[in-house]
Amino acid sequence: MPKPVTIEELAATPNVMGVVRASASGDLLEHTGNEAEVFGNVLVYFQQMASLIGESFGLEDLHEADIQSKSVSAVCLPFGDHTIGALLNARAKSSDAVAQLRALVTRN
Amino acid sequence: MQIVRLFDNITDIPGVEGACLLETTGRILFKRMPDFIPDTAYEEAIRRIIAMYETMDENFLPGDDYLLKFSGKWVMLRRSENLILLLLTGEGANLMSVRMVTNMALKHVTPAVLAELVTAAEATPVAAAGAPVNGSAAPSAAPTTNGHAANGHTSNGHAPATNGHAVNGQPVAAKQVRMYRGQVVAG
Repeated sequence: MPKPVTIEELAATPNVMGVVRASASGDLLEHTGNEAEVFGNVLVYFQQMASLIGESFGLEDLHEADIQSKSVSAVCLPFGDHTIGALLNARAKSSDAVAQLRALVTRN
Repeated sequence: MQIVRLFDNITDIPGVEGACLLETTGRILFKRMPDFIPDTAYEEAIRRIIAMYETMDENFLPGDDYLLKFSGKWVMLRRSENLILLLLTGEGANLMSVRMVTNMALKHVTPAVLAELVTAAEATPVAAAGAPVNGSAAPSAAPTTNGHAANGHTSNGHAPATNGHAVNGQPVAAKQVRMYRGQVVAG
């Protein structure tokens, strides 16, 4: 039986600078890498607001939320009762990084 | 009106279902969104969008672009200096195309265009009550209603942004004008 993916394995994904995992209630469960803790503090708020914005328009089931700035981007991926956040560098193609993160998380 | 052409370019992209231009204060300047979204949805959604931008700017990363992926639909938010462009797309829209075209659109919203939009948005309560807003009628006379006026898109029959909803925190009801057969009447 394969072992659950560790946060270090997720952080080793190409162009991923940091990874954070938070509980549904917003508790920071674990983090690794640059600025991941800072992202962790807003991760669940971001997920909740993104869901609420969608809800205003009648949209349901948020499965990804991305923020993009000039040098860094961040993705929020809800997985059941926890949320994974990843910080990506400027070279990252968000969709590729997300696909790799998803594959790792769901490999079981 | 130039803004109509800019929105035409955006909604021409396959997968783009709607677009809405806001001031960062929350006032809707131009809107061309699908009919299934009721006008009442915008006040709440815009409040949340602005709160999210402010909180994330303050506590994390001042990012201008957000992409929220839901089942079947994506919401894209792009911020420039004083504006937020909200886009609704189908799942799998070509984000690169959307970014290129919206970059151009935001670039073309010059202070002159913006002033025109603001003036039109402020004037719309009267236009909404008195002027036709559904495609066939003089788009330049009532352009900021639902954005469908100029290109034949189906109107939802409302005058969003300025149709009585307090989209910018100021209830429009205070400016109500009574109309009779298209003319403003006293009282």
